[in-house]
Amino acid sequence: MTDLGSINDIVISKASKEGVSDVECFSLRWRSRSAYIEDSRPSIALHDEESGIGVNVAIGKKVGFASATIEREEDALSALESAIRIAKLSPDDPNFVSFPSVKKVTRTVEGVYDRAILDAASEELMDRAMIVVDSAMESDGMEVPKGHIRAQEYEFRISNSTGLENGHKGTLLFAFFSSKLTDGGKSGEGIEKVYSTKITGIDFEEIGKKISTRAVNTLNATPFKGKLEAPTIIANVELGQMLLSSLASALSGENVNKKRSPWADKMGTKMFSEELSVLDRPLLPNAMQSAPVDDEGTQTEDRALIEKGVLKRFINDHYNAGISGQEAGNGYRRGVGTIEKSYLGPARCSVSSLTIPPGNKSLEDMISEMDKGIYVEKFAAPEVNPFMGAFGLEVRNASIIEKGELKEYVKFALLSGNLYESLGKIISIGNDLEFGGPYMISDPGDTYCPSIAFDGFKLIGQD
Amino acid sequence: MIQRLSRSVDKAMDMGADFADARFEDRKISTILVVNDQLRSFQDMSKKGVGIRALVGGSWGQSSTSRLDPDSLLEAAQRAVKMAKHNSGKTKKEVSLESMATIKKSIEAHVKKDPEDVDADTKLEFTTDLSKAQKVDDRVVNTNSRYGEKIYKFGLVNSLGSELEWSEIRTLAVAHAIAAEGEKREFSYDVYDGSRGYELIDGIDPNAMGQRVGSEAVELLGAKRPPNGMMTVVADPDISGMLAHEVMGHASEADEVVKNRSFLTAMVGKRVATDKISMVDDGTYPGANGTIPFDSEGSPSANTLIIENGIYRGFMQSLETANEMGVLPTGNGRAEDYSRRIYVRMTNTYFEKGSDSLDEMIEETKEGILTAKAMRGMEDPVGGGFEAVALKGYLIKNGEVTDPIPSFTLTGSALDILSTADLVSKEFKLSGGMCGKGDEDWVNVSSGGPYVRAKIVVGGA
Repeated sequence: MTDLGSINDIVISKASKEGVSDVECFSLRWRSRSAYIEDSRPSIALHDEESGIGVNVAIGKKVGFASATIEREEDALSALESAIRIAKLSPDDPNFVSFPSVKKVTRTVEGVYDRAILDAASEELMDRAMIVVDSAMESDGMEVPKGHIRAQEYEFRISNSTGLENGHKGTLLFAFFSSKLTDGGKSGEGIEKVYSTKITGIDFEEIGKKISTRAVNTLNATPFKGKLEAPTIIANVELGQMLLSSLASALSGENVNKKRSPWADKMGTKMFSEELSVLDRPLLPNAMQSAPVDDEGTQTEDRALIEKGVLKRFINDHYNAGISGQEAGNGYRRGVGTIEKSYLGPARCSVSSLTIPPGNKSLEDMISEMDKGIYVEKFAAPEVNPFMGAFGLEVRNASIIEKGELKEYVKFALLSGNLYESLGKIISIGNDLEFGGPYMISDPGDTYCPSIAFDGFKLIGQD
Repeated sequence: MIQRLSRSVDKAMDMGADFADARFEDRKISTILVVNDQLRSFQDMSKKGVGIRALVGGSWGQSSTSRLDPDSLLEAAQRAVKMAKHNSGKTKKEVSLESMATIKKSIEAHVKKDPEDVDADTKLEFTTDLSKAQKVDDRVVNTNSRYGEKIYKFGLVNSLGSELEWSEIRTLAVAHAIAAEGEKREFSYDVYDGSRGYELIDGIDPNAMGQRVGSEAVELLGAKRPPNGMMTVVADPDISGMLAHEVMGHASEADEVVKNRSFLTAMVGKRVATDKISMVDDGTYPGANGTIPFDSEGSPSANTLIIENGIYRGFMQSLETANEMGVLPTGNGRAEDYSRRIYVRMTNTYFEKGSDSLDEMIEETKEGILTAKAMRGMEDPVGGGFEAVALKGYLIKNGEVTDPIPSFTLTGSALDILSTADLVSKEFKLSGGMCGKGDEDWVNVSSGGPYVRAKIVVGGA
């Protein structure tokens, strides 16, 4: 099969002969290898090689989209045919003007392409997975019921009828491991996820130790009774997930334009603690979403969204930027956790790497400064209501802090509060920046956040 | 295609596989999204490819590709065996599937109205009407409606001689409204989906559905904050279905059991709930979203009993787990698509209906909460912890439904909750959706069932 740029050219050329006024092609090629552990043993290794194309066409203001896996040129032309058919059936979209028209972008981003991933066959991934297993099982009675490492390399080309031609190559690594410790009738589980652009530098032995420690802590956790309202530290990765499910949605230009965002009329307003700034960083080195262009081909820029507690900017893809008159550069379709669904739909508003600049305290310092508090390392599912900021989340790994120390591991409890209100009640910000990964594995958008201590949350137990 | 699949299976066996299968999939998905009464997107997606799986000793290799020429498939077969051989040296586990049944069959999806025979204008009109109807007053600031159809074709060949071809058709309608007043924003939604053709959409009144969703969003603007703590909860079918699916269901998937990761591993024959509770996973349920003729390994779907009058009965199985536990497969070996691994997954999972009426259940509740619709739930097969978020609910006072309350979370030990389940309704409803296990591998499922009254910890902001 010919290269991706040529496939796009063939589709664009054919579209012009079919009377299409605007056409955009996002073609993607990827290779994926996975190794799965079940019951502390190798279970299955996967290898997948595919290509796909997403074709967006406009006939005047009638827009249609179709996607297809591509084995031959005919498959790409078939996607074009479907997109044209849909566009002809569609009513006018008054907000559609054109696809982006920008110059070729030549700059690069550091740390997003790891040659070692290209060389990693599934057999090697399985060997590394077994390092995690062996490391975890150094603890007596520890098992690793589930584990998974996936390495992917991909290349996309984005072209459109304005003459735009851009692209990007990247690598992705995802690892998930779960440990289990049983004692009598009780079980404890430890989970670790790793999202990275590199396999180089990942300490698989350390992952094994981490899941082992977490399983011990969960095993020793006791059901929390009663209610406790106290300063609460949310660990970096979990906080990132809470922000992706809420803040990222409220900052979306599409949600502002559609009146879904609670902050549609809050631009320039001081809403949060002075200590809080939030940036969108598509040029952040080593980040999964980072690239010199977004998935519409628009050049990307790091931008402050919230500065010292003041709302400064929303994020926009080309379509929504056209409605609001703001800058584009946040039109994404590439999944952060896995790439293979990225061609299936058109680009949409998404953050790249939602970043909170670090404070100057270590997590240990933050804990040691609390007389009575709560530390949440992991929730069952860290989701926050994007419209109001409210949440009630089951804690999976959490402890009560007493006199500056982690004292009691607790389970069967809900942490309840309002994240938007508590972003105005920040006690301290840690210096432990960590990538959080996407909210849903095939979705765009990542976080790079420190742990933060908040006022205003409540832990609710079973009685 | 069946011939090409057969040749690739033969190739895998020639190279030393103990078992091999090859599956072809052609998935076509069409969606229409209307936002604020305007078409936002109209999309067709086509995903086509082959996955070839080889078993050597106790380990599998699987190679998949969107290149369907014979040479690419043979290459994929070779790669699958190579990977399986590498990993088999690292495990003493042995899996033998020789005793599994051989099936040759072709099954077409039976629908009354093939969605491909319905013109796009009709679908667009339905979706637009569904959006417009949500605007019940000025406080509805955003309306969203979606129509979806999925048309899947499958072919499967394995080294035991099975040759299968089948198709699946599903349709979907979603309405989602946001209401705002001052700083407050609330939303509501409704979904109809199933393994049915366009007759499912024909059976929906878009005006009634849209108005209901819009009105519910507005109603929530006046809702009081939910209470916190242990409450008597009348869980609606969505929430009782979450308990069935997320906790009891995931913990009854035999891949979790054989590796001792399920809190239900040693519970067969033991009481796990009051005798009011029975639960099944039924992949044969007519028209439900999780209904399938065969799983991704070619095993016919089945109605599997999991809890019978409070006593735990057993597990859902794939070929591999059935072999390991010495039982028959139950048609639960499923994969998201040809490029993903097959493992034990649910189909339609629910508590069986009871004999109480919802009205009686409310009348007999002095103080409590009636839940209404679910937003999400989370699995916990290891700990047996339940977590679900209800979209909304109503306070029950002295046997009457009173004030609405906005979204809140329900949590606690599933066994503790089921040990307090004292009333189960005869009203019954299944809701569809997609299930991801861990973070990925999404398959069509449904859950739901009756209203169930039990003691549950409630929390919300």
